[in-house]
Amino acid sequence: MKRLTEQDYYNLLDISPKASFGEVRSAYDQAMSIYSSDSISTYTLFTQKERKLILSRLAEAYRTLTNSQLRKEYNHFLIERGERSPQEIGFLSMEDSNIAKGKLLEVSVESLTQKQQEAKDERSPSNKNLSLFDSQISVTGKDIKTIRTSKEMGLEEIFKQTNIPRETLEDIEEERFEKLPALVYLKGFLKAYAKILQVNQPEMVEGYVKRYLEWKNTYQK
Amino acid sequence: MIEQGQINKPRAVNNHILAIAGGKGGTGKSLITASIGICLADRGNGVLLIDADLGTANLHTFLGLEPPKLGLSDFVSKKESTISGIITKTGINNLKLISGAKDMIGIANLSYGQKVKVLNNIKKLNYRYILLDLGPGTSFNILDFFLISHCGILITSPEPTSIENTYRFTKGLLFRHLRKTISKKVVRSLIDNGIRQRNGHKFESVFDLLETIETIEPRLGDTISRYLSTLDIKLIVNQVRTSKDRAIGQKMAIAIKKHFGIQIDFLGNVSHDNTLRKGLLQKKPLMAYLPHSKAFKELTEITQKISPRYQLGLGFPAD
Repeated sequence: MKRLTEQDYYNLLDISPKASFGEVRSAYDQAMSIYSSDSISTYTLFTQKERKLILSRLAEAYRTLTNSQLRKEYNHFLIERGERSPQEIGFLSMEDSNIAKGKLLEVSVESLTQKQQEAKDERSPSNKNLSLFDSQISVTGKDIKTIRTSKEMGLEEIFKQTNIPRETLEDIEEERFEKLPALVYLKGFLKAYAKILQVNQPEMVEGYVKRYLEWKNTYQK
Repeated sequence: MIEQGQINKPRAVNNHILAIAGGKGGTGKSLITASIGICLADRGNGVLLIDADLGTANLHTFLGLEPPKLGLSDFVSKKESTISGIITKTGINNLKLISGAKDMIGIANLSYGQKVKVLNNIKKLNYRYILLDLGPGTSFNILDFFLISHCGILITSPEPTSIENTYRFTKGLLFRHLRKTISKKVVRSLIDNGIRQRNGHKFESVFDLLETIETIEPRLGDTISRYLSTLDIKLIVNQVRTSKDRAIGQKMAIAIKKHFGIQIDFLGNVSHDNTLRKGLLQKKPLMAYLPHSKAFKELTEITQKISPRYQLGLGFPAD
């Protein structure tokens, strides 16, 4: 049993260390709806100071777990400190855990925080630079579906608000890549969809496109 | 069917005591107690309702009854020597009542000895379900009755003040529970001081308390965690109107788990329902309008979840 602000990011968000992007996102949304300052469900439960600490910790957790590079480093950090086992994290090969023991000894808390700060700067809406593609976590169709259903939105509703055909929405969620429209249209659709879901647009668009391109490069050469 | 070997043994009392409380008045505790009682009795269970909302009891009103002649205070003051002597009929099959209607104001301040006497006698009563309707507030009386029950149900409405008081109640309950279960003197005085905010100690959460205790008694932390895990507390959100209201209960349960370190089961929502208010104003018994209300279906579902058999995954027949 640990204090809220001392729990690791996975416990804080109540998710498994193997959680997908979609699961991280819905867990974050859920947590924000519980702990944000206008949340009635925790009315007066925390002092202002406590709440501020919890919220900044949540933002940190979200930033870290939705960036594959930062997440990897954070996972190694947890393993190194003996707080999580490689199996729990989902590191299957020895190589992965060797990294934990070797190279990542250098990763101190400070450098981690610094990197999080950098990632935060990169992702601020004013910055149009999307060079974070490499560190981008894939967003699967299932992720998008998880986010949509956690917001209790039906496909019909999305269609009404975005004019994206129902079938295309289904194709996106079911990852029927061969049926999807040309990339430029797909990006447009994803952008509109992300807006309705209130998800960071570049994150969702690039994350899904990454997956789409992986498929394309494998099967369409 | 009676099995061999049981015939000559006195029948062990197998009752399930549920306490219904909530930090704030007006959240519908009595209405929910009466409704759950009716639902359980309707399933063929023997049910006893006890109006322990000492000083401001009105459970009888929900049942459409005149204030019964005898009540809890008559037993406390020894005017009635046995607890079964103060049990009255309700006009509903399988449902009996111990009223608090005629109780003197002073009964709200029971001594510890009186509480123990009442509690011990309640425990011996042979009803499948015994429902204790506790008053609002976080007095030791209420916390103690809540803690002796097999299961405690907190009622809140989606109003900020009611939610605030639910958290206050939970905190009071935790400290009272620890105060009573841990015999170490040092811990007791620590809790007392924490509650009274003396010596600079003020425990916001169990974590604060645990940390302080661990500096004094390093091994006691585990014991405390174990004690806390024995609590069976449930939550109902009453008078919900919007979908936002409906989401509150689950979130509160998560926040309580994260902040106080105890498990609370969210049982469900009960809709705000004008039928109930109207029926009450017309002084009709609950049975006359409850089954036609929107809230009834929700209450039936909640009642199922309360059954110990249901919790063991055995379904919900009359048990």
